[in-house]
Amino acid sequence: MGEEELQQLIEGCKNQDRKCQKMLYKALYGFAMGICLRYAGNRYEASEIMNTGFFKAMTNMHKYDPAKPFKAWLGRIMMNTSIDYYRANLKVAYTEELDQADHIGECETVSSKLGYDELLKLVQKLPEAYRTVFNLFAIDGYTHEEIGEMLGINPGTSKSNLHKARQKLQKMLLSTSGTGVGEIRHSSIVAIRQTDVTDIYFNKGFRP
Amino acid sequence: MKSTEEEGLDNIFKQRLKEPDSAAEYRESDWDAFEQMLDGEEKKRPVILWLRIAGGIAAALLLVFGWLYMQTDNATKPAKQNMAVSPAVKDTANAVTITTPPIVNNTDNVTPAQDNKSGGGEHQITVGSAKTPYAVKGGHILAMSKHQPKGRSAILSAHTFRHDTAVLVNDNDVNNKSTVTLAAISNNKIDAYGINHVIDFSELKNDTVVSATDISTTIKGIQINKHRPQYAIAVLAASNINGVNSFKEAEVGADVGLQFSVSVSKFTFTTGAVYAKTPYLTPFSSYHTAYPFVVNPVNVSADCRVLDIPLNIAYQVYSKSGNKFSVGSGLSSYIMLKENYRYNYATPYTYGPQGVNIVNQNQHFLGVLNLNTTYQRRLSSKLSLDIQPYLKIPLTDIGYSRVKLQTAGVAFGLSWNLNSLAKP
Repeated sequence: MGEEELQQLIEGCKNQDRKCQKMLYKALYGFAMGICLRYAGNRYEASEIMNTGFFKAMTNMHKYDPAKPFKAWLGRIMMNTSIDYYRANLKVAYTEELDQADHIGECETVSSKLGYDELLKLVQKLPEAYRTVFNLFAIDGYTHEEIGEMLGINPGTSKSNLHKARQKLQKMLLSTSGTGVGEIRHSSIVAIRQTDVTDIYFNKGFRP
Repeated sequence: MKSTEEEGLDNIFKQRLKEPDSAAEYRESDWDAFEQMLDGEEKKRPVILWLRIAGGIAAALLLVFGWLYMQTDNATKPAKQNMAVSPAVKDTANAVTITTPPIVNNTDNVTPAQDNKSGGGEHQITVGSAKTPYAVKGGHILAMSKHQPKGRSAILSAHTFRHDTAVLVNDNDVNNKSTVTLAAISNNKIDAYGINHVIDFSELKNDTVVSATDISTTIKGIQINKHRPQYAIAVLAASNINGVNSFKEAEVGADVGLQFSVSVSKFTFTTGAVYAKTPYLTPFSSYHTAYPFVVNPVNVSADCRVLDIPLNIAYQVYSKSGNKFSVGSGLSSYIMLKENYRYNYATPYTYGPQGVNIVNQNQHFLGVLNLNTTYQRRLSSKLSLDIQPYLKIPLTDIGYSRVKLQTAGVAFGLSWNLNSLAKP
């Protein structure tokens, strides 16, 4: 889609022209979904996040600065919406012990053979707190300080979660090379600072 | 610092996931869901917009009418505002002067002055008895009661007595029979009395009571700033009920606050800060969260601490014998200080979070419509008792849970008239 056409659609969206809204939605569906899919746990959640993101974009279109690339603006909205969607779970730390990863070289070889769908599946299998930090750091290029600020966690927690995310990915990659994409189980949650999970405990201490 | 291996791993994911080689397949069902969101917003927006616009128009109309009312009253005042006065009690704020010689006609009837809306001119009060009180309002002279006061009181029973700018009253028990007291009463005190009320002269300070030695008086004019703003502060405490969408499963809360008000004529503008404890119970269907529950709770118990900053306007609809009623409306801003949500599951052994705490994350500026009515009982020249039933209707979704939280309650308070502190 040309820049001029895009600007016309944006103008139409500002006037709440349903036709323009649908055209813009369709045109940027793949782009937006690509972001949401790697932050989300599955396609269903990704769709929900993406629609919420599009909704924010459509209802705040007047705030968009035409001097800047629209896709970057929309991408940022999608990312923020993804973070908001999982915000309740982003400050958790998982307690399971991970094996020391000493097969990096091998993982690299394996991962280099995998395509988008396979790698996406691996990322989606990460717990939300790890997945978000991994996305923000490794793929979107934010620093731990920035991530800490965005998620309301310490930069140290961000580093720790990134490290664990990598370990899990490595483990899954190794497992993939043998038996396909591996299943990872994680144990329970412990809480963190003000927003959310300060008081998230599991009901009565019972687990199914 | 990243190790080379880590960097390599990151890069692989970055290259493949940042720029996917195959875009996600478009699904019409996603658009349908999105369209529903858009439709919902379009339906919702006009209602909220309407309420806000209506509130704005109402406030603007009140201001305009208030201003017009004041302008009209000012136009009816005599242009010249001076009278000879007993020197000891001259009041600059409520300048009242009396000139002599009197014109005496032997009648108890009031000789109404000409309608002097054009302003200026003399108004003659002609009295035949020292026992007859009169009131003067703007360009009109009002008939007063013939009741004889006891002690230091005089009964004003003039049916026309309203926001009068002055009253001519008998005060025989204090002075000689041949003496008439002219009492010029500033707006705040008149406000406090009204029709058929006993005026205690001990409350009328020297600045508002002027003694004339002659029973017959020509009054050239009276100047009283009856629209001088009246300032008051009030301490309020309230008990209320809170519910989501309705009051079917209302929870009882309480709030306490400080309010500052400015009254001009019959209008009162109020603002302040109210700290509210707001508990409520909401079905999970009304609760909004991004958290993907495996098993949804049945309902959610919320306990919020809210700082409520109201901006209200009230109109006085009744005032008599120290009792006043007014109706008001306005908008409140909610600053959500603390929000605590507890999830209640159908069975106690459900696996899921028990609750969530939110601190200082949500603010709703002018997001709540206030409707109230106030009964005010004057206790003294400085103190009044306020009783205010109120209803708060959300114009936006409130709090982290984004619920339509409504509140109804009754506030009790004590008002302190700040003008009483001012020196004449």
